[in-house]
Amino acid sequence: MRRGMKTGLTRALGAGLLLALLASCARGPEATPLELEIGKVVRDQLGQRFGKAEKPQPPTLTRALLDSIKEPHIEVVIEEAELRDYLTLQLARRDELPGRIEVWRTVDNISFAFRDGMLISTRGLRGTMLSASVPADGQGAMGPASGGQRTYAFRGDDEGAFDVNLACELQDLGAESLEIVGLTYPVRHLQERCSGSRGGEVVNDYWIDSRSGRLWQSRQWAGPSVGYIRIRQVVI
Amino acid sequence: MTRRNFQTAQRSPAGLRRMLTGVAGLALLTQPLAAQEAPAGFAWETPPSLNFYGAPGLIDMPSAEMLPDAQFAPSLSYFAGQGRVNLQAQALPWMTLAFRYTGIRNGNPNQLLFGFNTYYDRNFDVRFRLWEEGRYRPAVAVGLQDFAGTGLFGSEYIVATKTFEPEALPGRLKVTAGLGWGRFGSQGAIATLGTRGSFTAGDTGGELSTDQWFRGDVAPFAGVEWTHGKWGVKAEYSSDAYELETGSAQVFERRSSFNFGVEYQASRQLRLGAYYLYGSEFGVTAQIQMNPRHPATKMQVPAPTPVVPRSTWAPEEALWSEAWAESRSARVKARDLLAEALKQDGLILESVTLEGTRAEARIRNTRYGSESLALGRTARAMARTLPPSVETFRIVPTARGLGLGAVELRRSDLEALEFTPEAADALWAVTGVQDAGVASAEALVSEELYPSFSSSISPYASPSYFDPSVPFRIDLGVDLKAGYSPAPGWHIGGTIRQRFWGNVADGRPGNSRLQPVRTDAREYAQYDTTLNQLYVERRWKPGHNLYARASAGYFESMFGGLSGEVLWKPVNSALGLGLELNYVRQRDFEQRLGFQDYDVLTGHASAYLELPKSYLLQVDAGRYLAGDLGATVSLTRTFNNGWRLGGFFTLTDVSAEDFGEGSFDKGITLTVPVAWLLGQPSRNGYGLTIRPTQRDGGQRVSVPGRLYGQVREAHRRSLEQQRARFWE
Repeated sequence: MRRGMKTGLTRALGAGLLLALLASCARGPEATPLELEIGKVVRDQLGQRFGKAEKPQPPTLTRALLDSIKEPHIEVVIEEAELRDYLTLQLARRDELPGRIEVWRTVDNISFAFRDGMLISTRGLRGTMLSASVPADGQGAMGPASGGQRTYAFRGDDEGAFDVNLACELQDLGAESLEIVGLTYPVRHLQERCSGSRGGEVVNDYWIDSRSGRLWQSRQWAGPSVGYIRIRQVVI
Repeated sequence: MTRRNFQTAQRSPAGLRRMLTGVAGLALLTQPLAAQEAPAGFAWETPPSLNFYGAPGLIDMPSAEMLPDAQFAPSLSYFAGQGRVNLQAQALPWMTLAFRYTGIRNGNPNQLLFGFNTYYDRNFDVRFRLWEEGRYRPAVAVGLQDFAGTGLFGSEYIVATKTFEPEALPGRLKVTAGLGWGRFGSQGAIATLGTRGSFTAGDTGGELSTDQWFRGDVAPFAGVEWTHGKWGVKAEYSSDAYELETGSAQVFERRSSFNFGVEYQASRQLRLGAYYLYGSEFGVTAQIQMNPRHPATKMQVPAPTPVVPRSTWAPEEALWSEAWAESRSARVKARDLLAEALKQDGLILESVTLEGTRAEARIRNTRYGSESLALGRTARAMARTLPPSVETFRIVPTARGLGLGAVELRRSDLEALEFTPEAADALWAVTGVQDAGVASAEALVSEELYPSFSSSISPYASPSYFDPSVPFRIDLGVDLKAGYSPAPGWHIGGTIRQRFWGNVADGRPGNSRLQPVRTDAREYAQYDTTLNQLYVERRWKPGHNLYARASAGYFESMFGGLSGEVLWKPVNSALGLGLELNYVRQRDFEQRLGFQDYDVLTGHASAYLELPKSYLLQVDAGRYLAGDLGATVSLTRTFNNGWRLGGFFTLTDVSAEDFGEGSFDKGITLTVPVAWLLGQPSRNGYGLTIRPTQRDGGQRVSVPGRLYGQVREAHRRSLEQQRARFWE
């Protein structure tokens, strides 16, 4: 009897607490209480589990669709997570270092920055690439101009950063023809093979237009957490 | 610049995006080892497995291994009526500290165990590494287990461990052998060194049992551990006779000195084990491994808006004129634009002072644990919204209207450095950290912010530990909080607490020779609806490097009154000095508006010193709530991400007899930040203060809004250590 009462009580208590957690709220310019932050995560999780099953399919690209789009877009695929999204150009600029900087972003604020097409930072993903030194020469053709040392800084440690140093060799794998959604481009395939100073190997691939020097497609390492990403220029 | 996206993608943009953010994060979290051959992430050492006491070791016996620095390893173990909750922390690379709560079940039908069916005991351990493992040399450690108080588990040992990777065998083999005293010297002794003291029944405890350490019988113990992939197998020879447990407690029979076990690494954080002990019993362990430097979930923050150089959007000379600063309406417009831009990043503009080439923004950060990140976002917002002639940015993080510190940087540096390699170091090199000062008379205070009202309804849990009959008690309910700020620096705050369920009220009544300033918690727990807090607070900067606070009202459930605090803390100094004076009265048990008769003038002079390896030393000397005079020493490892792990003790002029059990006040503190757990920006953390016994000596009033913690976060050392987050 007593045991039964206790279970009932525990259940009622659990339900009450869950309700309290779900019904809690905060307003005004003060910090949110801890229990509310946890509550929000619980709600989000429940929403994801029991909410309407919304399984968005990435669009199927056709040349006709791409032709109807005026603004430049790139396609980014995160290989390990098997995720694909289409990004718009947020900023193009130069600084005192050689190479043109481009920042591309998704609607929900994930961004990738490139210098002459080479990844120099990611933002909005877990395991941020804070900055990178890349062999851009700013002399026309995009992609790596030479082999040599590369340094990446990633978020890590206690609110700090850790560096990954690579020694790279650049190889020209020759002329190829590259197809992107119904259009074929004559390209040169460049490959960087890099070995880490503390072990590990990175292979970056670039497909660069033989005439214009534009980087049409690449596969680049975005760090220990994100892994490799594939990038294609789908609309110029 | 644009938000247009593919039309097809727009049909379900939210879902697609959520997939990319949410699922990406999850997938990455669950497969941390999946990076095939690419360079590994921030080094994450594999910790040694733990024993039944939660220490690196075999099954019941310890080994000489150390955990990775700063590791925090809670574990549970159970066999034969012996339940242990262990908290193990690697305080320094060569020192581990542990706190343990144990229960021993009584199996003797004729006699209780020290008067209980289950006897609960709390104990502390310390272990030191004497030397690390070399190519031929084993690692050697010396340890003192349960080194103070009753010493029920009191043991000392010196132990050596050597790792082998034999070619004939896959995996790794660890061989351990040692000598034990006390409990670990009770079976198969080979020698006797002097006479071992013993605990005197009725003593208040709490003192170091130096008369026992490394004395009495010495016995050898040994064992092996073989690990391969996720699996581990252990075998040991134990030198613990379990005299009490097999004797008067009659809880099990010890038939053998050999123990065996199998362990499985279920995840990076969790290891599970099953064992057969002493020839008669089965046992289990669950070992959790956490490290403040490796978040449970990696942080994910929405990408910032990049800085656009002024040369691209203000190419003409005329746009760089300073004339706008003469016009109030232009300044108000700039303020509102800035406030709007900050809002996008969840930051609040308190005020802004605009001059032709300079701007000072005072901000309130209620979202990000890192002030550096908040500063970075503010600098970007300023670069985005302020007229081109403004070249110098001064940003002042504030808390309740009080300026905590200031950073000054040049807008052209922001423009030049964002995409350079090592951008964080480069910008930090040209950033100045200064005293916050007071806001200029010209400052445009945010009109939509003051007067401000805030409120929240949230559940609460209020635990109570170590009642000998029910070791863990808890009250659960809802807090209704409200705050009102009429102007910068002023705050009125209150909390009404409604309990739904709890058993703290059934606890032990206090008994104390002192004024019961804390031990009558049971009396305070008799009421369901209480006014937990209601106070008015004023904060201001009385001078250079000085911070001040004055508060009046009901500060906590037990005390209310007046409180004043002054803190001296230069932005570049590792040292801070504070002075706090309180006149408080004990509140009525029902916690409405009334007071009891007891009042006291209590206050402390405090010194705060930032030490290497994130250690923070705090010494407070003064008068405590029961009128006793003395000092508190606390040493806390304070991580930038909000993890805090520390210990404290207080010695006052109250004698051990008057103090009661434990002889003097001491305890450990632990804070685990929400952001570390969930990987989302947050300023909150789970805080825990555990005292082996709660008595009345050496107690301080808990005043809301003490200054040091907040001020420190916006000063040079903290900002410099987190400089990587500025651009994030």
